[in-house]
Parts: sequence; C-alpha cells; structure tokens
Amino acid sequence: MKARTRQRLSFWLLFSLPLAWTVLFLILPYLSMGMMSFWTRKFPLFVPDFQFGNYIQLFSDPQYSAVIFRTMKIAGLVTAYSVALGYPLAYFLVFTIRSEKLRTLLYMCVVVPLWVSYLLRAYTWKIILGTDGALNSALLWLGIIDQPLDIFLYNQAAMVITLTYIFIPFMVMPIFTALERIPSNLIEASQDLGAGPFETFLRVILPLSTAGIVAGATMTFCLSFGDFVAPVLVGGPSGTMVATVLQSQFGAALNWPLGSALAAIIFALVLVVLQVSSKIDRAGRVSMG
Amino acid sequence: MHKLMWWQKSLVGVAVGTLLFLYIPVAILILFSFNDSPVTSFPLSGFTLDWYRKVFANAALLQSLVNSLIVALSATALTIVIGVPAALALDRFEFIGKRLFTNTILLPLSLPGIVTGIAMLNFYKQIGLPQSLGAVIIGHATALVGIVITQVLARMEKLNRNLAEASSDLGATQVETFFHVIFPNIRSAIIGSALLCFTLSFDEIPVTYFLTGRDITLPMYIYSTLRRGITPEINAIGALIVLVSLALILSSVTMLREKK
Amino acid sequence: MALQPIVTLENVAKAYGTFTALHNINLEIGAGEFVTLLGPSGCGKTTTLRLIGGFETADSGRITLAGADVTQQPPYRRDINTVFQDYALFPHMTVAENVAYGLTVRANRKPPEERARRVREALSLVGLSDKADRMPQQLSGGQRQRIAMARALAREPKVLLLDEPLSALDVKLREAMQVELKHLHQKLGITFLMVTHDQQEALVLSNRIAVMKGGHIAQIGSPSELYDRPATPYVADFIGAANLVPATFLGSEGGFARIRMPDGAMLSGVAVGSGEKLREGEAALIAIRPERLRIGESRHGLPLTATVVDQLFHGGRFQLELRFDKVETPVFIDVHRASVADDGAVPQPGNRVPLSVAAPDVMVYAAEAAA
Repeated sequence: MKARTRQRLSFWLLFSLPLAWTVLFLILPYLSMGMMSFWTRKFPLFVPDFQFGNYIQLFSDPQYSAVIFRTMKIAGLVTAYSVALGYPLAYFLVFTIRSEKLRTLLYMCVVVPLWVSYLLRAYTWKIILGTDGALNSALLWLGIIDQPLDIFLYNQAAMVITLTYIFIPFMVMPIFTALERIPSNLIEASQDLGAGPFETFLRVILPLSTAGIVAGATMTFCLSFGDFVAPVLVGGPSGTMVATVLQSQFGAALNWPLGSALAAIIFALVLVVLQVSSKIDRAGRVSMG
Repeated sequence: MHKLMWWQKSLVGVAVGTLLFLYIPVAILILFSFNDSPVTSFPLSGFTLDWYRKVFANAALLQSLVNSLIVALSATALTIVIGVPAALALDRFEFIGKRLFTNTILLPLSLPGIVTGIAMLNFYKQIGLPQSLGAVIIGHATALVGIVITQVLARMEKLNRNLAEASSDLGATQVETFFHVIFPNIRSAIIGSALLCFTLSFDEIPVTYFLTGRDITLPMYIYSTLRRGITPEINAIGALIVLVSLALILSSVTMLREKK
Repeated sequence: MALQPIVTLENVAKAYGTFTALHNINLEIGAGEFVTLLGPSGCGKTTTLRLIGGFETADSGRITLAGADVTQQPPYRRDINTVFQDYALFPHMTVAENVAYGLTVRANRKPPEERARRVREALSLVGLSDKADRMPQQLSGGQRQRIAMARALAREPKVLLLDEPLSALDVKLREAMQVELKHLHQKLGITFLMVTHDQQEALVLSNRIAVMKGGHIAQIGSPSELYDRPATPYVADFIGAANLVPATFLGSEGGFARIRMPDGAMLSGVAVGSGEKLREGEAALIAIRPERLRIGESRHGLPLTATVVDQLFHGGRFQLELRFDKVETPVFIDVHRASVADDGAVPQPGNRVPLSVAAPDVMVYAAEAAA
C-alpha cells in the first residue's frame, strides 16, 4: 500500500468516530439552535421561518433587555470582586509563602473547592443568608440584632456574594500561574535599579500578570453571565438573570424560538468576550527570557 | 525579604481572609449536617446522625445517586473512546479545519452550560432522541470530551517524537507502537482527565437539566428538593459529596502530575 | 592598594541551612578598579556578589560602600547596579524604557530631558542607539547583554556588578565583548566587580583577581602575581595550566628549595611556593607551567626525562601527554608546529624525551595544600 494511502487510512480510522460524533451531537445542535431562533411561534407549535422578530423582541421589550443588562451588571460585579479578592490571594501564595511545600498545599486548598459540587456551594449561601440561617441566628445569638433581617437573601447582593464565592478559585488559578512564571531576576533587577517593593509591584509584577487576570476574568464573566443556579437559589424575584428567562422559555412559557434567540445572543456575547480577551492576551503576550 | 511593609501586611490579611472565606460555608454545611434541628440556625442543638440516616433511607435519593453513577461512568467511558483517538489524530496529522475542531470541542467548556443544554435539547428532540438518561449521557460525553482531548494532546506534545520513530525503526507496526510506546506514556493523562470528567459529570447541572427525563441524577434531585424548601438532609448529602469529591480530586491531580 | 577603598567586606559569612557558602571573607575593592571573583561553581563568588548587591543578607560581618555601612540595606538603597547573568531585561518594556527604568523610579526620578539625554548616552556607549524602540525579545543575545549594561550604567553607579556577563555568548562574540568591556571600564573609570569561572577572561580584564574556593579567598592579586607566584597548587592550576607532580621536599635555603623526584632525580634552586611550611622528607607537590618545559637538553635548566604517552592535534600546535618515571599523573606540554622543521620531528608516543626547565619556574608546595 502506498505510504500516502496508508496515512490517509490511519487518519480516518482514528478520526471518523470523533468527527461524526462532534458533528452530530455538538455542531448540529448549536447550528439548529441558531436556526430555530428565526422561527415563529404559532401556539402551541413552532413554525420554521426566517424572521428577526424574536431578536427584535428581545432587544426592544424592556422585560428582556433589562434582564440582559442586569445580568451583565451582575457578571461584571462578580468579576470585579473576584479579581479584588483573588489577586491578593494568588500574590500571597507566590511571593509571601517561601516554602514550596506549603505553597502547593495552600494552592490545593484554594483549588479544591472548585470541584466540590457547584450546586452545594451556592446552596451553602442559602442556608447562611436566610432569615433562619446561620448568619442571622449568629447575629441574634450574639445580641447584635434582635430581629432576623431579611435583607441578606433573595436579592442581587446575595447573588453577587454567592457567585463571587464560587469564582474566586477560578481567578486565583490563572493569576497564580502567571505570577509564578515571572523570573525572580526581573524583580531583583527592578530593585537593583532603585525601585522599592511597591514600585516593583506596580511596574514589573502587575504588568506581567495581566495575562492571568484577563484569563480568569473572561472565564468568570462568561460563566457567571450564564449561571442559573444562583438566581434560582438566592436571587429571588428581583434577581432574574438571563438564564432564568431562558429556563422559562423552554419550560412554562413554551416559546422555544424566543428561547433559542436568547441563547444565541448569549452565545454571541460570550464569543465576543472570548475574542476580545484573546486579542488582549496576544497583544500583551511577552515571552519570558 | 526584609520586614513586611504596611501594604504587604494588609495583603496578607486579605489573602488569609479570602482563604477562610472559601472554607467557612463548607464548614457550616458540614457542621449543620450533624446538628439536631430542622433549621440551620445558631446556637447548635446537639449532635445527631439522623440526617445521615435519612439520606441512606431515602429511596428516591439513592436511586438518583445510582443514576448519577451510571451517567458519569458511561459518559467518562465515551469521552475516552472518542477523545483518545481524536487526540492521536490531532497530534499526528495536519488537516483543514483542525483549528476549528479544537475550538469547537472546547466550546461547551467555555460557554454557559445552559446554552449547550438548550442547543442539545432542541436538536436531539428533532432527531428523535427523547429526554432520558441516555440523552444525558450523550450530552455529558459531548460536553466533556474536550477535556480528555486537550489533556492527552498536551501530554503527547511533551512526548519525544523520536520514541515513536525509534519504535517504528525497530520493526513495530503503528498499533504495536501505540500500545508499547505511546499508551504507557499517556496513561496517566488519560486516567487523570477521566477522573476529572467523572467528577464534572457527577456534578453537572445545566446540560442535565434540559436533557433529563423521568430518571434523574443526584444534582437534579437536590435541585428539585431545594426548590421545594430546605431540609437538613441536604446538608448531610452535601457533606458526603464534599468528602467524595475531595478524594477524587486529589487522586486526579496526583495522576495528572505524576510524570512531571 | 593605594586607591581609596570603595567596597569593603569585613568578616562576612553566609550559610544556607547546613551549607556554609562563605567563611569570614575579607575583601577591599579600590575605587576605579576592575576586580574579578574567580572560581568554580559553589566556591562562593556569586554569593559574594549578591551580598554586595543586596540580594542576600550576610549572617555576620559588615559590608561598606563608600564608607557607609550598607550591610542591612536593600538593593534599592545601594548605589550599586548589577548586570545579571541572563540580563533580566523587562520583556514588557522597550529597550529605551528598560534603560530609563533606573531613572524613573520614585527615589531617583530625573526630569524628562535629563533622562532622555542619559538614555541616549548609555545607548551610544554600547553602540545600540538605533535599537531604542525595539522590544528585548527582538534582540540577539549579545545585544541584550549590552542593553543590560546600558541600563545599569544609565544610573552612573559607584560600582557596577557583573554576574558572569559573557557566559551565555558564543566564543567569538565573547572575545569581542571582553575587549569592549575593558574599553568601557577604562573610559568610565568606575569600579567593576565581575564574577566568572573563566580564568582567561579574568586575566584579560582585571586589575586584580580573587581566586575563591569553598567559601574562602585562596589568593588575591594582580593577574601576573597570580600567574607567576600562585600561592597554592589550586591557584596554580586554576589560573593558566599547571602540571602538578608529587615530589619529596629535601630542604630550603634563602628562598630556594631542593626536592627529589619520584624517580630519584634531585632538583635544586626551585622556587618555594608554600614550601616554607614543609619539613625535610615530607611529601610535596611541584607545579610547572607547560610553556616553561622545553624539549631537549639545556645547559641552564634542570634536566628531566619523560615518556610520550599521546600526541593531540590542536591545529597550530601539538599537545603532548607525557609521563615522568614512577609518576601516575600525566604532564602536558605544547609543541608549536612553527618551531619544528616538520610534523615528523614531533616526538611520537613511546619516545623518551629529555626535558629541561629553569629552576625558578618550578614551584614547590606542601602536598596538603592541594586542598
């Protein structure tokens, strides 16, 4: 058998199943969702069509556009707080902890919660923030308040807290990796040239860690944007996010075309964020050494 | 380093505080799973294993646990069967659309799960695949195969190309080379990513939510229970899940790091 | 030294866990000198440099700079700048920004015009004025090395520390850079302190060399002092090459000694290296530089005989490996092809050749001093 033919054969032997699977179960679903977003809903059925009505409705109807913006705001807040808390933690692990063993141990401690049931980690805030939850009862017990407060739960703040809690480890990981990669002689060089620790941080360490911040922020923003566990558990009525709307379109409201359009918008938004972040990443990419 | 300055001290404070913040809720969960009271309030009411007993007596919950195991095992097996050959093909051959393929399989991991879940629901219904555990298995496998492919591919890139060439030079066929040379070196990457897939599948919610039929998985069970109201049984299940997840993660990480 | 000391180390010691890197080092470096710390890895030369730069703190002892005690000062408070071994150029800044860095720090901020002027001067000093807007990754190794120098020099420090500055460059480039470095030192007149394991580099560039071993300074002196009068066999062998042969000490008078070779030959009038510590009959070590051994008999030199073991071709010369009778360790000499009628005249393996060496060129040391 000719070498070329043999190579072709082995390629297809390896790749035909994965390719077929991916096309059938991944690519076509995304595409068909895109297509369905143009359909019309003629209750109780959905009619194949090509019209932009669903998109127009999503952008013009304040009910929907408000939710989209609220979700963006919340995702933005979560990202900001995650960076604010995650960066110091990563910095602490890389630069303040001297012992390699301790550093790895603490890093594991940060990362492990990531894999322990998302649902449960959101749930813990429900039991903490509720009127008969841990926080209120602790405050009562300590005598700080004499009536349980219901301001803790079922609002946007609760969602922001919950999601920040969930995403901090997501932030720490790429920032930790970026900080670890900075050669220590750059820091020594900066100090050698007269810059104190704070100035060295601002001018050398921080710029060289932005890739990690961008990576973590992108993931956090995209994932919290599409989250539907937090709104359901701790969001309450004022905490409707895009995902809850999506859920209902495929559930009670039974408007699959509209739901598909919304899903397509989320898809597009996330892709845009990913593209932007990869551009920033490439533009700022510096090779070490 | 010399003495810590003021801003470094506050940095340490924030860092330690954040670390504690990460663990307090989990600690509270475990604490209250032993608490003898239907509400999660302080002060504590006394030690009890009742909630754990209730968990083990709850038939629906146990069934959902079994379902989760079936789903996770099947999905993980599928990811390996699909993912390892794909990684081999990607490592060895250049072809049009290679980049596109790699980006596509990573989509479910970067997009919010709900989008993937909806897309799958849409399409599977159209091709006659009903909402069921089967659909869930297929959905998980598809969403998670990217993990196996990227991890195995990364490990293979570190592998010296000369090894395969040496094997060939010494007379081994492609298949023999795979089993004797390539596989032993990627084995830990496969196992590590398989463990990861298993854990993620076990805990998966958005995709499962849309593809689930009558038989539900454990997260789905917990989710629907939560919507009805809190019962402290959830704390007990939660504590158990934390323990098992921890064990799985640690072994997965050890495996993935093995051949550093 | 008649020069004003600019850096002094007094009884400086440093240990890492159970490993002592430096044992009570004392060193005085004069203003404007080019001093090299020379030795193999692990001898403590880099540790010494880092202590002076402020990147490590001494366990005991004092370090002064221009008279002031800087032992506890961090690097950013010492008027010393370092050229790092792998240059440590900031990858996220242009060449110009790198060079200007030391002039933009809060503690030393210069007005923009002065900054620009100093950057220009520094870059033209190293001949890279046209690379100001490039990124470090776009430059070659040799260029990066020069930018690292420009960056350190822009601050016009009192002392410039150089940590194996040429070790990453290939041979031809290294030799060219050595010359440039020497010119730079002469032009600027500031103190250079360099660390290297390359003895040839040390000989070419330095006013004084401190040969280090195991955390001690074995000998410090000018290149010719170290070459012509090495204090120990270690220094003799480290600087240049030295053939070390065991012998027996028979006694010394007036600075000259008598020794007996393993094959019984007696040599007198040899130079006393550390031989004054020896007693009659004790085991000694003699060192003879290869270029001082001549093939053939000479009326003025000490006669020796050796057997050729191997002949190695080095282009313009042959290197002969020889053995003295009853001596295990080989001895090497060079025979330049230009000095013989034809290559066939060069002694072949198996030949016994007569050698001669001027007595003062044989240095005798105590055998334990080989440590």
